[in-house]
Amino acid sequence: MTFSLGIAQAQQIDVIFVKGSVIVKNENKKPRLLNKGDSIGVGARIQVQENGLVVLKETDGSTVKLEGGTLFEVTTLQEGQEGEEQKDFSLYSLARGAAFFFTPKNEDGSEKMRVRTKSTSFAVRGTEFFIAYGEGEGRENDIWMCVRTGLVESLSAKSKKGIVVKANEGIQVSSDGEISPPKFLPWTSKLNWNNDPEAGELENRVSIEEAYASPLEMDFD
Amino acid sequence: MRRHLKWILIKSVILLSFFNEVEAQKTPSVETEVDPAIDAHLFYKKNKWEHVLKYRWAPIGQENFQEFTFSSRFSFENNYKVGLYATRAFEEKHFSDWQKINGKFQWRDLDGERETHLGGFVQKKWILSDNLGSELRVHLERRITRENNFLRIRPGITWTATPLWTTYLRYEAYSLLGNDVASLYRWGVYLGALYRGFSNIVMGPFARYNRQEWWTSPAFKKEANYTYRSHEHRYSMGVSLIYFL
Repeated sequence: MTFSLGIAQAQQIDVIFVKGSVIVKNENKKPRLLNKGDSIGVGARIQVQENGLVVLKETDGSTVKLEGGTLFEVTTLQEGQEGEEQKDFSLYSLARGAAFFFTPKNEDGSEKMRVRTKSTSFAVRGTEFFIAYGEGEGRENDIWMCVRTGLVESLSAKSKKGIVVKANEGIQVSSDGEISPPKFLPWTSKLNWNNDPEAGELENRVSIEEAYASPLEMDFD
Repeated sequence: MRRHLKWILIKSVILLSFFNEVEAQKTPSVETEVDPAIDAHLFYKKNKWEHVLKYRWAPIGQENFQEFTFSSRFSFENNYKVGLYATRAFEEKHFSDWQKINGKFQWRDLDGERETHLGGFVQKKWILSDNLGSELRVHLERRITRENNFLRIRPGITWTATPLWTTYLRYEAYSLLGNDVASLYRWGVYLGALYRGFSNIVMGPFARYNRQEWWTSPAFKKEANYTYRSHEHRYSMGVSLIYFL
């Protein structure tokens, strides 16, 4: 699948919530602090400091919530034109940290969003999903992904074909691109999916360490 | 004839009462009620370190047994863990609590009893399958106030019945070191379930059975010219509350 920005009208992303220190850097421009009400576009690299949080909203209604410690880049923003074949499509890169994604479907069910990580890319047609890097020694390049609604197709350099992850399922991708079979991950049931600043607490307090903590290995007394 | 029968009945009741009285004076009373209990934990985990504040409450007769324990634990590879802990306990029963009061031997009022324990443990867990694990925890405990040393051995199994429910079964044996009366001072079985569906909070019910050995204390021997040995059963049903900071 190829995408051309040449004929597309570039979308903007609005910053609808900021907590803590969030820095944005565009090519050839000085880094600056991101504030609520700002707009960013293609090429923006967003760095969320520890304990920070930011919520971004595309004009098509897609929302991205970035947690503290995240490094995120807007690679492509493409807006579909009425009567033309080109559809809404966004390509993001998640280089570090964790993010929640909320995206409505294209009318024809075509791919709406793709998120790239170091080892894997996740193709989306309309869904709510969460991606996080692992934490701790030897786990920094692990990827955890879980789906709340819809479907997400996962592709890594090692996987020969895409692995479809359904709602309420999750996967772990090891640093060498090995994708685990999709299954329900209990810790994901505690994730804070709220992306609406008006609707209450936005911060997700589930540490990714919980992903590694098998209840069989944990102590409860 | 009827008067004779009545006299035999009265004598039997008196005799029975007398034996009961003697028996009551000779051994600690055996409680068979199911008591309520609460176990609460506060966990703080940072990398390989884990710090735990634990509170236990359970009634013992008219008294309330309470225990506060602070422990620090360090995890090694392959599910090995070591820990150190300090406990402050209130209203625990002891051998010397069996005393002569108003001419009768009975448990004295434990009000105000408090003591300190220091200990360490080693733990190993084995993952047997996707949803079944086992563990062994061995404690060595110094009860400073009473100048006793205990060896506690606690094997157990854990089963993740569903993704959000964990059930566990533990056996715990206490051995009072340096005594030549009984190899087991206390042993117990714990069965519980924990719900892990809430953020940071784990909770669930548990049932506990403990069998406690009692034998003649030096204080008792001084007061009476006989020795005794008996055991006590304790049953509890309660709630575990765990909060992860």
